[in-house]
Amino acid sequence: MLKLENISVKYKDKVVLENLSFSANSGEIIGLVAPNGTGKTTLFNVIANYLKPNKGNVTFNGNLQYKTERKELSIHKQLVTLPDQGDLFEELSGVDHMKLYANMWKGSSKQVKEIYEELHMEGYVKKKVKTYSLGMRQRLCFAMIAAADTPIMLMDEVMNGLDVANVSLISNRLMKMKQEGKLIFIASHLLANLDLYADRVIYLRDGGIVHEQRLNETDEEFIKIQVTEEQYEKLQYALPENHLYIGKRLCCIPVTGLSMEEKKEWIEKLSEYKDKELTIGPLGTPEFYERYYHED
Amino acid sequence: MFWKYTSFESKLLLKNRKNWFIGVFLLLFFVLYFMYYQQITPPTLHDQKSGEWGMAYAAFEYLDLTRHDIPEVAEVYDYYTEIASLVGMQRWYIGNGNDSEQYVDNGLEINRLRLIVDDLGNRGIPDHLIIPREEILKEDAMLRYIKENDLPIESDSFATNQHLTNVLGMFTGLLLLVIVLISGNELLVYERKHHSVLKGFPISFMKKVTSKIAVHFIQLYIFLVFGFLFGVIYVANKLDANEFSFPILVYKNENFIAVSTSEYLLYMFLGLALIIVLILSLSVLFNMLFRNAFANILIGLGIFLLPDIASAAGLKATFLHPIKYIDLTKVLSGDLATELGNSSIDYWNAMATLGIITIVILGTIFTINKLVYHRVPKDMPLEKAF
Repeated sequence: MLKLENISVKYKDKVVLENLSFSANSGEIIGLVAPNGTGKTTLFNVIANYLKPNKGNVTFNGNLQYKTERKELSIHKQLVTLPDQGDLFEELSGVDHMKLYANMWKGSSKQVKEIYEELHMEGYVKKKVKTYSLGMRQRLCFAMIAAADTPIMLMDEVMNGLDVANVSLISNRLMKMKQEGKLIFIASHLLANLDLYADRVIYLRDGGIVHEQRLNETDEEFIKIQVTEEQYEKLQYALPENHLYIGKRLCCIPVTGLSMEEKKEWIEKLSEYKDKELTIGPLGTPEFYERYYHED
Repeated sequence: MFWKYTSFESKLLLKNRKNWFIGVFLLLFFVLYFMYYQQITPPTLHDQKSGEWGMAYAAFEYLDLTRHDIPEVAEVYDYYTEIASLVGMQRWYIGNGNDSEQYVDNGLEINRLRLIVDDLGNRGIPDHLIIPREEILKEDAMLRYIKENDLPIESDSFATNQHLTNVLGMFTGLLLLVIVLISGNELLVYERKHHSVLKGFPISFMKKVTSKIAVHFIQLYIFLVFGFLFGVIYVANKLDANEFSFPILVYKNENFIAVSTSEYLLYMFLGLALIIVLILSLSVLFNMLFRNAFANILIGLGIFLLPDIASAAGLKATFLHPIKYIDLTKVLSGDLATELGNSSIDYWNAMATLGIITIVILGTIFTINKLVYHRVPKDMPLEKAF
């Protein structure tokens, strides 16, 4: 459905993206993870053609590229990006905004009421945006792209400013959208939240993809325990060679290939560390994040 | 999609206070102008004729001094004898004589004689007493119209017409330019303030531009028409003159013709429509090039003043003359043709030129947008502005 080939975005003294390639299919939610200023928004801008990269191609549905305005329109009919809160029209109501997106992409605003009811926005959606809190605005931004209902959606910081209840509300809606066959990109700092619905998480670093985590496909599990650097120094010589020590706090021992006896042995050994939580499972997004961005 | 987008643009326009200020200004401008100027009573026909008679008599005296020495002056003197006599008779016809038909016939004869005198080079007449050829032609056209349409020679409708042309003279040109430039100064630029909301719409750039121009045009035009209408109703009631068949002079094909007030207003408002579309299109182009709302106003005004600056610098710069065509009252009255020394500038000539300029501006907007898709980034990625 979407293919990025050798995308490079370079400014005079800064390389933002370099030879970045990947492809994505419908019915996928792809998380995009990186610290601020490492190219997430730039990548979205390239996918939406708000930014023409120095090099590389973005291809939709096998052959559609941003070569002419006509082709761009064909792509934009299938693609919507999450608006920024600060760009909303203060004098218009939430319904006005939602109707705008529904009308522009679907040609009708019939579905708007159903969406704002589902997102529990009835209490304020007809008031002017200037009266909204941050969380209300963010929900409106999400409701707008839900109203556009396109096959491809790009969401930069979609959970920004939302409380726990609303994060859950939108997470559920995202899972529903995935079931409808949409391709959704989400750049987020709520890392554990991504694990709930993302199929893949892409980690960007130095202009490229440093890791691609396939959440539903991995069978690699670890015994995980938090240890101090001091404790780790004492322990490390006994640890297997392929162990990980993430963020100078989390020690991860791969269990794949270990016999039951060996597993028991490790659990017993590590249970000596009192007050430390010991878990077994795959590495989650927060662990990978720490691994790639906090190691230094 | 186009209509849905246009409906959204209309909503934004209605929510923008700036547009309401412009609307209120347009609604009040004409009424306030008329309120002030209707207190000034224009000179009566009798006053005008007395002044004319005084001028003719003064010229007559000058001619008398030299007619014996110069044969050409003697010829002019003879014509002036007749002119002075006819003007005197006109004063009688609009006074105790009370014969408007004869008044008009005399007027036509006076103009015929004045044109002959003009052809003779106005020999022996001092400059300040010479009646310019344009004035003679204007007067002639006016009298012919009155004769053909069997109109009274004195009516308050003449004063109304004078007020109408005066107010339109004040409005067209610089004031109209400023109003439309302010109205259109953010046509595209405001999108940059809301770019993440508006940027990815699946609608072509030219359709967006058309929609924006259409919405702003309709807003300006509606307020303009209603503002003018309120003004006309006010002045017509005050002066007790509701006739729109009275003549107004229009410069056409290097000559003057008198047309009815309604025809004049039709020309005027058709022309204003084209001028508003032109300035709005220009605003879109400036928005694309400079991406700044103030630049739109300042550069727009600067361009309008270019012909004056060039003229003050002693440059002829004929190619800049079309900029002045937006002063439609001057085009219709022929004053612009005189001012710029180009007798071919009349209404249809100006409209054709402004129409071509509008098409060129829209073509440039179209081309710039198309080029965006063909530009190849080199050192920097290319950001799409709109």
